[in-house]
Amino acid sequence: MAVSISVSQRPVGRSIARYFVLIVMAGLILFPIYITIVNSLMEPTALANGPVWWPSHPTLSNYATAWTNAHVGRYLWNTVIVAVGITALQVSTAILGGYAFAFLNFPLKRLMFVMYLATLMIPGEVTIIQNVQTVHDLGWYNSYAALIVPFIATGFGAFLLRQSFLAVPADLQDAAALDGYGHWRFLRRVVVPICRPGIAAMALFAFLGAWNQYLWPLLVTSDDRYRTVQIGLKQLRTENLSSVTVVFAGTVLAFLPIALLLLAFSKQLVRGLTAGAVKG
Amino acid sequence: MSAVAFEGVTKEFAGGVRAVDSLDLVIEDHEFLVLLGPSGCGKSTALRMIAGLDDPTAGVVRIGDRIVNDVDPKDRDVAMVFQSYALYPHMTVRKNIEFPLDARKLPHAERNTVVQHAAEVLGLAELLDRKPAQLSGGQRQRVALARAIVRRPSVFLMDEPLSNLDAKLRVQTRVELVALQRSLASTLIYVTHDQVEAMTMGHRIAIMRDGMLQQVGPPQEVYDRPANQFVAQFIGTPPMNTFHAVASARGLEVADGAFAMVDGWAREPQDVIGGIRPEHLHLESLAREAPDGGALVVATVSMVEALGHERHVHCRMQNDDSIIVRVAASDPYPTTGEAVALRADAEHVHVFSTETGQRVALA
Amino acid sequence: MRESALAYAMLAPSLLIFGAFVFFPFVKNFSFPFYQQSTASGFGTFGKAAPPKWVGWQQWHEVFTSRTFWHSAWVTVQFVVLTVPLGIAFGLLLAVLAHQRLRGITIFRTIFSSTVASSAAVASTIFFSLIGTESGLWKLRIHGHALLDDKTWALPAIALVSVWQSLGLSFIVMSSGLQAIPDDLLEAARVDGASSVRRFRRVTLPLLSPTIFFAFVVGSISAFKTFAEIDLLSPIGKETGGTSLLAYQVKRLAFESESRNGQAAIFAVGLFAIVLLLTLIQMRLERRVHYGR
Repeated sequence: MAVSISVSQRPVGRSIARYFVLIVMAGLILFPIYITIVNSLMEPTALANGPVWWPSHPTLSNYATAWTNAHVGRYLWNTVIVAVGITALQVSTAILGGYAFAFLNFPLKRLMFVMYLATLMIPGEVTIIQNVQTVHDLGWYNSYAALIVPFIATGFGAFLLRQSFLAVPADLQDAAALDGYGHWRFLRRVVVPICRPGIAAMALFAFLGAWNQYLWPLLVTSDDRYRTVQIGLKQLRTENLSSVTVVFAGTVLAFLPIALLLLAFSKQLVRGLTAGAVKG
Repeated sequence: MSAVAFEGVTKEFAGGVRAVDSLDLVIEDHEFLVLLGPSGCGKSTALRMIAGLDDPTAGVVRIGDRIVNDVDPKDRDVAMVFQSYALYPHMTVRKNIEFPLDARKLPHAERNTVVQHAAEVLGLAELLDRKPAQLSGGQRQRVALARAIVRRPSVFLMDEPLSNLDAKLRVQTRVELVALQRSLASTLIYVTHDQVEAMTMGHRIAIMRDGMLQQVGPPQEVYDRPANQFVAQFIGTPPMNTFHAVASARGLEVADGAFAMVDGWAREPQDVIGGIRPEHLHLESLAREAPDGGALVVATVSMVEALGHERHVHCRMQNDDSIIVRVAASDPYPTTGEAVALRADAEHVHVFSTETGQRVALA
Repeated sequence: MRESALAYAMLAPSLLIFGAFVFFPFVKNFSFPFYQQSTASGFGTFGKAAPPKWVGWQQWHEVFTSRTFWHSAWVTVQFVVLTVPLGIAFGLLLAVLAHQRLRGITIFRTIFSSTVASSAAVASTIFFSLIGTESGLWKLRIHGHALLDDKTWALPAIALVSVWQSLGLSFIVMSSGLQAIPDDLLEAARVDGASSVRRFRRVTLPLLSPTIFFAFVVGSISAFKTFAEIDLLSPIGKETGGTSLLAYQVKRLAFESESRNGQAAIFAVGLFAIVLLLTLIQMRLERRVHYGR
C-alpha cells in the first residue's frame, strides 16, 4: 500500500471519504433523536400514516400538553430538586471524606477506607428490598427525603476526591499550618479552590446519576407531586397512548436540560466519566 | 528575636528510622546558622521540629525561653520558606503574601502597607496581581520570602530555598539573602546540602550525618579543622584527599616516603587516615630534597584536569591510594604517566583515626 | 487526639448513611430468604404484613431448582453478551474515527458523545414510541408478531437500544484512552514502516487494552443490572420470561402483587455475586493489563 504517496496526491479525496464516514455515523446516532424532535412538533393527526421526516407545520402544542396536562413540568421540577439536593449533599460528604482520607491520620483509617470502597461493590438490587421497607417505616414513602437521603453519601465520590486532594503538595499543608490555618480553613481556602476541577467533575457525575435514576424513584413514589421525570415518562406513555406526539414532547423535555448541561460542561463530564479508566 | 535550642532531641519515624539522634544545638539570637548535610541526614527533620511540623520523639525544643514541644506551629512565631516555595497556586501574589496576615486578623489598611513594603523590598511591586504560574522561578522564590517576612517572625526557617534556581541566580540570591538577614536582624536557620552556600552564608555551620551532629562552628574553622573524616570530605571542592598512612616521628608515612607534620608524632607509630586538601599539596621534582628538609612522597600522574583557572593533577601513590594536587594555571604541570614527588604544607596535614574517623589531635 | 475526632466527625455523615442504607439492608438481604411472608403483603401494604415465618433453606432450594431463576440468569447473560462487546466495538470505532485531525472534528465528537445525555428511560421511551407494539410509529413486526414481543427478537432489539444509549459513554471512555497513548509511539511505528492497520493492531490496541478492559467490566456490571429498558420496552416478555432479567425479577418478586421477598432476595444475591466476581477479576487483572506505570 503506497500510503504516503496517496496522502500527498489525493488529500481532497481522502478527506471527503473521511467526512462521509463521520457523517454517516453521526446520522445513525442522531437519527432517533432527530425523529423524536421532528415528530414532537407535529399535530397528532399528521402522524396517521407513520412518522414524518420534516416538520411541515410545526407546533408547540404537544409541549404545552406535556408540560401541564401530563405534569412533565412538575416531574422536571421534582427531578431538579432531587438531583440538585443529591449533588450538593454528595459533594459535601465526599469533600469531607476525601479530606479525612487524604490529610488526616486516625485509628482504623484503612478499615474505614475499605468500607467506603466496599459500598461500590454492593449493587442497589441487594439493598433495595430492605431500603423500601425502611422508607415505609420512616414514613418517607412519597417524599423528597426518600428520593434524596439514601444517596447523600458516596464511596466513589470520596475516593475520587481523595485522589484529587492527594495531588495537593504536602508543603502547602505545612505552610498553611505555619500561617495559622487549621484543617477547616485549609480545606476551605486552599484544598477546595485548588481541586475545583476534580470537584466539578465529581459533581457533574453525581448530578447525571441522580437525574437518570429509575428503579428507586419507581419504588418509593406513586404521587405526581414527587415523581421524577424518568418514571414520569412511563406514566406519560400509559396515560397518552393515543397521542404519541405528546410522549415525544415529554421525552424531549426530559432529555433537553441534561443535554444542554452536558454541552456546557463537556470537559468536566469527560473527566468524571473516565476517572479510573485511564491512569496518569 | 530569639535563640533556638535543641536539647537531646531525637526523632524516630514509624518503622524505627532515627532521622535525628540526640541532637544538642543552640542557635544564638540574630544568628545565621546553616544546617548542612547530605540528603537524608536529618537536617530537614530538625528544621521541621522547630517549625512544629514534626514532633520530637524525645528531648526538648526551645524558642527563646519557651519550651515549644507542645506549641502549635502557628503560635511559635516562626516563618518558613519551603524548597518548593509552597505558593498557593489559586491566589495572586498579593493574596499569597497576605495569607499569613489574614489568619492573624490584621486590619486592612495595615495589611496593605505591610504587603506593599515586603513587595518593594523584594522587587515584587509590579507582580502583585499575577498568579504563581505566571512567575519565573526566581520571582516565586521572592514571593515565598515576602510571605515569610510580612509576619516579622523572630525565627526564619529556610529549607533549601535556592535549590530550584539556576546557577547564576543562585549566586545572586545568596548575596541578597545574607543582606536580608542582616537587615531583618532575626534568627535564620537555613538547611542546605550545598557546602558553597554553607561556607558563604552562615555565621556558623552545623554539619549532620545520619541524624547525628558532626561539628558546629564558623565556616573557616570547620574548613580548617574538620572534626572527622566525613566533615573533611564533605566540605571543599575537590574534597580533601584522604589516604592510608602510618603516623610516626618522620611524619605521615606512605610507602617509602612521608608528609611532614608540624609537631611530629610523639607516640608509637600507628596506622591512621591522613588528610590533605589539594591546595596544600605541591609537586616537586623527583631529584630534589624537600626545601624545608621535610620528606616527599612519590606518586604517578594518572590524569590532569584543566579547569581554566587551575589544574587538578590526579596521582596514584605507591600504596595505590589516589590523591589530587591543585596546581595554579600559570605553573608548570606534569603529563600523564610521569612520576612526581609530593610535598604537603606541614601545618595543613590532618590525621584521622582509622577506627572512628575522628580527628586525632597532634599536640 | 483532636485529629482523630475531626476525622471521624468528617466521616460521620457518610458512615451513618452507609450504615442505614447500604450495610444494614445488605446484611438484612441475606436473612430474607430464610423467611416466608405468610400473607400477601404487596407494594402498598409494607410493614403491615403478619410476621414472617422461618422456613430455613427451603426457599434457596426452591429458587435454585426453579426454571425461573436459571432462565432469568441465562437471559441476563445473553443480554450482557449482546450488549457489552457491541457497545465497546462501536465506541472504539467512533473514537478512532473522531481521533483524526480534521476540520470540525469537535462537532462530531459532540455528536458521538451525545447519547450520554439520554437516560435508559429516555432511550427506551424514544424507541418504544418509534417501534413499540401498540403506539409505535412504525409498529415493527416480525413473523407476524410485534418485534418487541417476539420471543426471539425482543431481547436483541432491547439490547440494541441499550447499546445506542450507552454509546456516548463508551465513546468518551475509548476516546480518552486513545488520547492517552503517546504520539511518539505511533510515530515511531510509522518511521519503522508499519501500515496504519498494523499500527492499530500492534500499537494502539495493546496500549488501549487497559481502557477496553475497564469498559468491559464497568459495562458488564451495568448490563447485569439492566432494569429500565426491560420495564419500559418489553411489556409482555418481562412477564412471560423472555426478557425478564435478574434485576427485573428482583423488583417483580419483591414488590408486585404477592410479595415474595425471600425469593427476590436470592435473585439479588445472585446479582451481587456476579458484580463481586467482576470487581475481583478487575482488581486481579488490573496490574497485569497495565503497561509500565
